[in-house]
Amino acid sequence: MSDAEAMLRLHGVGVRYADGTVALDAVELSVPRGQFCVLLGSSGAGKSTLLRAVNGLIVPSSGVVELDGQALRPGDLRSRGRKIATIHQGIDLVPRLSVLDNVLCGDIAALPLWRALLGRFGRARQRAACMLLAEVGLDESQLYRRASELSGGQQQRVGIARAFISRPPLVLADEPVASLDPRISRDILALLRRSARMHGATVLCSLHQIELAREFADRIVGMRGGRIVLDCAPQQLDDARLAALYQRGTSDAAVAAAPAAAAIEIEGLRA
Amino acid sequence: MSASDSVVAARPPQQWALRPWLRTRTLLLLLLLAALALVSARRTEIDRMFALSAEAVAVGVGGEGHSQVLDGLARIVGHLWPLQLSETRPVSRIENFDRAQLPWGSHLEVERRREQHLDPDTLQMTETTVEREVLVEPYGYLLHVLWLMVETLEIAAWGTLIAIVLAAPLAVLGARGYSPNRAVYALTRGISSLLRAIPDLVSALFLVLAFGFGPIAGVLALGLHTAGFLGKFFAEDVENAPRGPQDALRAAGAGRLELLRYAVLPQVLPSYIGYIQYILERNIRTATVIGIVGAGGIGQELKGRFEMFDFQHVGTILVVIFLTVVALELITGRMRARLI
Repeated sequence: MSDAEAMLRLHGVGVRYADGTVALDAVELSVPRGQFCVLLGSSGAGKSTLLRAVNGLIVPSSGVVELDGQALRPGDLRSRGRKIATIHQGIDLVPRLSVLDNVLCGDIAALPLWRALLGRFGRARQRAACMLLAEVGLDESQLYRRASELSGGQQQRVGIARAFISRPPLVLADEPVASLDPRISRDILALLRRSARMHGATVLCSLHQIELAREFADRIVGMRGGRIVLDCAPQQLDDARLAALYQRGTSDAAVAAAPAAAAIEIEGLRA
Repeated sequence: MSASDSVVAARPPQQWALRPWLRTRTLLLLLLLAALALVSARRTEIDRMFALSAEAVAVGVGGEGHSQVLDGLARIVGHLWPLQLSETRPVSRIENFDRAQLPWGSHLEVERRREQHLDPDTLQMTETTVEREVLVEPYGYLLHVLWLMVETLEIAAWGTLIAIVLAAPLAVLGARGYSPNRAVYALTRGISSLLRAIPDLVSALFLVLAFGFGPIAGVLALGLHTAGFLGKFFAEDVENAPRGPQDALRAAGAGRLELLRYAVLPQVLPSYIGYIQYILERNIRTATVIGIVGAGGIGQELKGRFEMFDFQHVGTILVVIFLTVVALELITGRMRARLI
């Protein structure tokens, strides 16, 4: 792909914590416009760190993050929040806030401070939120219910509506179905994919369910030890590659070499 | 297993070292505390307290002998009872007295008093009977006290409101993550502690000098003192509010104030209401006594009557305070059950 088509580009992005841990090691990644790109890797592989380096919750210690060809300034979360939406692990709606307010909060960066503080989101934005809530499958009766009163699946639907209300070109999803059961997980991912199509958004989504990754991804990127060690189409994701990605103690070279003997070990992971 | 793990030889579980029930350190600490308690008990006459109380119980149960405590209590109760409910005022002292329009429920009486005078001509004591007309309001004093109780409640309410307003900046600037820097954080927490450290009765003493006798001093004293509590409680709640929703809104581009408004406030509101309720309750209790130093409310009347030895009036005041506090407990208990 050419760079002009890239919605998101990471160039040598590294994250080093104060205690010396290297969470992200000079990552190079380019996600083309409109792609549904899935990040795989075991816990601590750096998936969340990568997403947080993109949405600005973590300031990278090195490297550049480019959105649509423009380098993002570190620290400027307000302008970044208008272009990049994030769907969070464990949902992270504000539990005691109404469903409507939770969705509207996704567009908070577009409002002047006084309007936001007074809760004057405006009729047009409220209508847009209603449209999105209907799109993700909620109805009018849930509009003013507290987010905590909804089921996990419904909450993540609200999370998706919250992500899309700002019309973001890029949507990040950090294990969006981590706390949901398999059937609802599939529904939520299907919804996320459909919404991204409808709104023309590029998606970078971390997952730990390999089957779901195979089913919904346009492209799979595997991470281990803060580095990208795998980058392939979902059809190319065979057991050997997976085993190498998830096995402890194997060197990075082993992932690319894909030793067939490791294929047996993956059965436990997929169960 | 690596080499370093095997340095300590693993013992079978039957031989694992178990700690004794009481360790020497704990035992020594307990002995030290007991010694301190003994010394302190002598200084604070705890032994005498027990002796006098036991004597009172023995006399009370047995019905014979004398107890200093019981006699004292009986004397007080004898003075307090019957409660003073009515109010009697000489008509001559009432401005614009209109005989045709007496206050509701009141009546006029003629009071006769013998007065002794020294006759300047004869230099003899002469006795004359003085008659004066008085207005008797049967529940006049009770109404007066109840009205003072209302003023007391108002002092408590305004004090609490001032505390809430002052506590808001103390909470935000005294919460890690929302305070602009360490210095502001330390300063804010310091202010909160200082406010808590000055007892409201003490600050009321000084505020009375500054603002004069009356409710202003009471309102400010309560407000300042409890702002220290609310500032600390609120700040700690802001610090402990769940991070997830805050991160989610931060990623969406929300600034500090917006985070407070949308991710923090909704989550901490129930406990804030709990704190405010507790502070209001506490302020009502304190407002009943803060008048003792001249800061308005029912306490001011209490002190005045006490100093004039009007113990029946004191009795009425105490009963009204007691009933108010009991009613308060009932009401807030029910409200809390509904809110939480």
